[in-house]
Amino acid sequence: MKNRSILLMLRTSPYRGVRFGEALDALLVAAAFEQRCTVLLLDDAVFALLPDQHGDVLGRRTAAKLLNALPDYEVERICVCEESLAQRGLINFVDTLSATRLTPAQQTALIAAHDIVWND
Amino acid sequence: MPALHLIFSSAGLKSCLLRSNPNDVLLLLQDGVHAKAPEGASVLREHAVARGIESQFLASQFVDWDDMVRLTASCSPVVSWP
Repeated sequence: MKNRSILLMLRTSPYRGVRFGEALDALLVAAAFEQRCTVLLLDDAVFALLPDQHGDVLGRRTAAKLLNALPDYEVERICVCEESLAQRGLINFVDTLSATRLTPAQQTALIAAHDIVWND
Repeated sequence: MPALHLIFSSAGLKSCLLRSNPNDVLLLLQDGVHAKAPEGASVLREHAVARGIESQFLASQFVDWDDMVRLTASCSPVVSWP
């Protein structure tokens, strides 16, 4: 199989519907087939980085835990939009996942550098 | 090669504009046709006609499905903005 780079852009809040988890599941399938995968969190998806989430009280998977597991599946790069964080007052929160913060211009370059871009 | 941005909503357009290159191709479709079309953006004619807003655009802005297929072949990556 040809190796391609795949960028998954997540834009919706992690507990709105099931898109967030399903999109990550799809990415893990791609990673299992040795495609190079990157995740970029934008807009309300940045809330997935907040600590102390308890998805189980909704009978749901916890978004931060899903992201935390990505390196185990060879998805090494998790990026987040600096501007989306700032708009939500999250510039100084404790990001235990240490996502790479990117400016919009850096995100433009990230999109151009991938063969395939998925949006949730 | 320029990227092709498929824009499906006003919110999608806003997110896209922040992160696209000036030489990228922007195409508004579905409810994206209601967003304020930036200069140079293309519009899927069928979706504007269906919503009764065909007269808001210039004829030169419209693309049909065949044009869209050609764009997907000549641009990379193709990015959807729901």
